[in-house]
Amino acid sequence: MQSTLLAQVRTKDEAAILLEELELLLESFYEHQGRGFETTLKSRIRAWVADLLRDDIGKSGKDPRDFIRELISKIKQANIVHLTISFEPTKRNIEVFSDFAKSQIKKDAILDISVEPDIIAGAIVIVDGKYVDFTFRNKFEEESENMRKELLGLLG
Amino acid sequence: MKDFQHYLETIGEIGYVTEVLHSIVNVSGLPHASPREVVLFESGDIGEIMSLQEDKAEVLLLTDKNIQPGAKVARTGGLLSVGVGEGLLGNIIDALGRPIYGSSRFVTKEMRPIYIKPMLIIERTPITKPLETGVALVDFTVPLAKGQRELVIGDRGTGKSLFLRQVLLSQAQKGVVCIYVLVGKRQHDLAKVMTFLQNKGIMNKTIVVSSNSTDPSGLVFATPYTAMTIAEYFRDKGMDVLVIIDDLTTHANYYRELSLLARRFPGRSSYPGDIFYIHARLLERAGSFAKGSITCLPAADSVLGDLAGFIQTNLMAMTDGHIYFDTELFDQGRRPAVNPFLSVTRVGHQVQTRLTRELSRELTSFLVEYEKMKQFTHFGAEAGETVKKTLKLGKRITAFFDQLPDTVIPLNINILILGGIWVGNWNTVDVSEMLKNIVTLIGRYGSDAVYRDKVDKYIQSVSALPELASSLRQDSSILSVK
Repeated sequence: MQSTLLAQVRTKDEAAILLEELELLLESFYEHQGRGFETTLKSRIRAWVADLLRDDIGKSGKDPRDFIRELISKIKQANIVHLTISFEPTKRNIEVFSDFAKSQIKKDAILDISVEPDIIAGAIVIVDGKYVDFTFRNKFEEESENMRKELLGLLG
Repeated sequence: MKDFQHYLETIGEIGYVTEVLHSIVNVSGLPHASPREVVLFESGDIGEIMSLQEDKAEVLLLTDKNIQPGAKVARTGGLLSVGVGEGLLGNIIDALGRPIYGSSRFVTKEMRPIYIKPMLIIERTPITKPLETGVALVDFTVPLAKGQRELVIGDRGTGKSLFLRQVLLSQAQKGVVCIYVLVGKRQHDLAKVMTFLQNKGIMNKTIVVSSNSTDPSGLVFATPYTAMTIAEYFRDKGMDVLVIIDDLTTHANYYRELSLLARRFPGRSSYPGDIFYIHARLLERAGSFAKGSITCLPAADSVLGDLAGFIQTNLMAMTDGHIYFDTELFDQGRRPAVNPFLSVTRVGHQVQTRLTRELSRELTSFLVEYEKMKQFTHFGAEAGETVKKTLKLGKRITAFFDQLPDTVIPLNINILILGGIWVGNWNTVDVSEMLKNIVTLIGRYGSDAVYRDKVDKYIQSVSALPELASSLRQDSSILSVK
């Protein structure tokens, strides 16, 4: 069953933060004579994360410890999609990219976005070791080379 | 080789370095990588895929730059290849075929992968041509043939490399293409080889493939394979090639280092289990073929004369004999310090003429007898006439076999001189006088074309040892120095 919490994780940074929180929760089971979990959930985890986690645990019917361990494992095994773009993406951009990646590339895709203005436009996508260049940089370089040759031909 | 971006876009796969272990890096990604495929790092460094695991590829570095975790890697889609062609003659190159140490620019004809399977039995021909080393002792007692693999083994500093250079000189003067391989040697050793080749004027017939002791282990490992690939090119052109590999024990040590870094299970003496295969697949590429031949003389170090070492016995098993350089003989001042009793040639005798074969046989028997007599005289017993004669003849033959390290003596004049010693031509003079005469004769053979022709015809006209002996007894004017 796909966790709704997992569906909210879009980027590698978000995954890292969530992993930290889940590790904290896992340790909390052994604090305050078993009451540490609730305390930690209320005080040290982000509210929306805590709410979604409670829902997911409730729906799954599993032991909270097992559920959290499973969630951590799923996040660590998630497919990373490296995306190199030429501009700093907004939250909306990230949502669009993430939805696209999850629907078209891998269901559990997590984005690792890096910004490189040199590519001008388009994107470089790397997933599972495969590299695809959708940038405009190469096209512009090709075109400028063709134009240079044409100009030299006219002048020559 | 094109640049990183080209391969990235063409092949469409990328990897990232996850772990660096000296000469080996672990790379994630590259989903369709093949074993032995060459990969290119973003920095321009080259590596070769050693093995593939579920989540990573082990890459052997072939350049010595500092690779950091996180570095990007692209596949090239090709195997490790080297440029081959006549343009390589007279040059010193590394295992990747790049010129080093003042070599001039050269053009190669084609690229060939360095790791290939040896030719099958059906493609090989019997060994029929002799190979003159120019060293009298070896030519008579441990004769070699073209297409043979003969191991040159002995302790350090016993004259193996000097002997190998003599063989190279002898063959290069006859027009054979020579490839001298230095595996993980010091730069000083390379300089000595270069000086030797230049002084003897045979640089244009030789290719030196060299790797330094400070080079990356992957590059050192590939060095003899590169040399063999170049040799195969010339063989396919119909030429005879001589490949000298100095030395395979160092090569084994570098491979052991790589295997241990790659966490391969260590076997005997911590060598990996495939160490035999590593050398066998190299040496099996030498031999006699329809188009040409590749003669291979690999060198190996022994420790305190121990021929039962792991690598040493491996190499002896996969070669057609061995020439053993004895430390005891070296310490006695014998040069070359070849022990003919512990040396073996498995195919050399079959290519000898009847005369040389008989001479070889007689000589070996005599030397055994001579050694026994020498032991006998240690007891201080009075020596009879037979013993005295044997000792006298043995002393002269031993003196004749002592040869300067930078001289080579053609076989025919050797046969004539040995025949002369055998029949007692110089019995009336002392050993030093005999040696002076011999030097004069050898010099005359080398410089006087008429005399050389006379000697060659004389040797050709004699078919057996008794015939040679009786002919020299009747008329030894051909041995006159006046």
